[in-house]
Amino acid sequence: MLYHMRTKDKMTTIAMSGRFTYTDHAGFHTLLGRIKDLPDGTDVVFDLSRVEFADSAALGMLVIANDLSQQKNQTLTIRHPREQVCMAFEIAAMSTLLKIEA
Amino acid sequence: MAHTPHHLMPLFPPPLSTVAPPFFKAGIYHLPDGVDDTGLTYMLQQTGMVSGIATGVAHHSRAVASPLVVRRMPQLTADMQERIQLFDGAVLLLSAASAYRLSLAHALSAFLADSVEVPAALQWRLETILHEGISNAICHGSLELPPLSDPAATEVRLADAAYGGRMIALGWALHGNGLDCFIMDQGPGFADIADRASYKGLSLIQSMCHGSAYTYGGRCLDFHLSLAA
Repeated sequence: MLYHMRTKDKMTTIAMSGRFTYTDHAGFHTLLGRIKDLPDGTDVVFDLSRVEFADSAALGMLVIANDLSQQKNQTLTIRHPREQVCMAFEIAAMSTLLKIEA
Repeated sequence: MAHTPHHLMPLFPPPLSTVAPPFFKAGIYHLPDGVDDTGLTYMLQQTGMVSGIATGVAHHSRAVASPLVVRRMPQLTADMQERIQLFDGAVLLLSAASAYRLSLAHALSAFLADSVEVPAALQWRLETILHEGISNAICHGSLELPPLSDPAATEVRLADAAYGGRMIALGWALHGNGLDCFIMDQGPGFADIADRASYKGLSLIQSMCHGSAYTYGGRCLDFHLSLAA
């Protein structure tokens, strides 16, 4: 999994690409550290339009990121998940936990 | 045809038969540690028929040569030996540490999709089921770690032969218009699936296949995927 982080005004977009799985936990841990360093009130967007595959561990990581954002008064949005990722979100009822935009 | 590297040769050749064999050569394949994704793809190709795709093939029972073979692998538990002996398709054996480093589900689902023309709509379902089953077998079964464990703790367990050295077995067979697979680990298992109910991976597996069951105390996942459109 690769990611690119860009901040403009009060919004940070994290564009992810590739496969997002349990083996990316260490890298995501680093990313969480960077999110934690963002000013309070910054909106965070995860752009998943280039994520080909996501497993249940990836869903768990996104939930952790969301919990962290809430602690910092940030809004976290998941944007443009692809079909497989959408299906995984639906089965895991992620829409009850995360803000997801097509 | 390229010469098969010695360390990728099947442990025993598939039995000879006068009837048309199934698509996948019934055989046990051990992937040694250190083999990369290219080697994995090569080995998967060895499990396939050279003559092409056969559809509607009758069930073929493998000759019981495997007891001698599996006894050559003392690291296999009695349960795993039994499961392998009962299965009539191809079986791949590798350590949990190897499985962690390889794109195993991706490679196997791509191979199966190519080999038996899995409809596109089912291909990523198959990959998801395999991925979740394999990652469960590695992380929770073999390494005995809870979900999203500390990465450093994961690396410690992978390097420990008592955990990372545990074997994982994957089997696949084509029966009529359906794929039957199993994924087995040598971990402690779980007494009640409710213990793992919070693991979203199980929901994904159950929702995406056409039947699944856990046996051998939770150490073995069997699932069926119908390939009918």
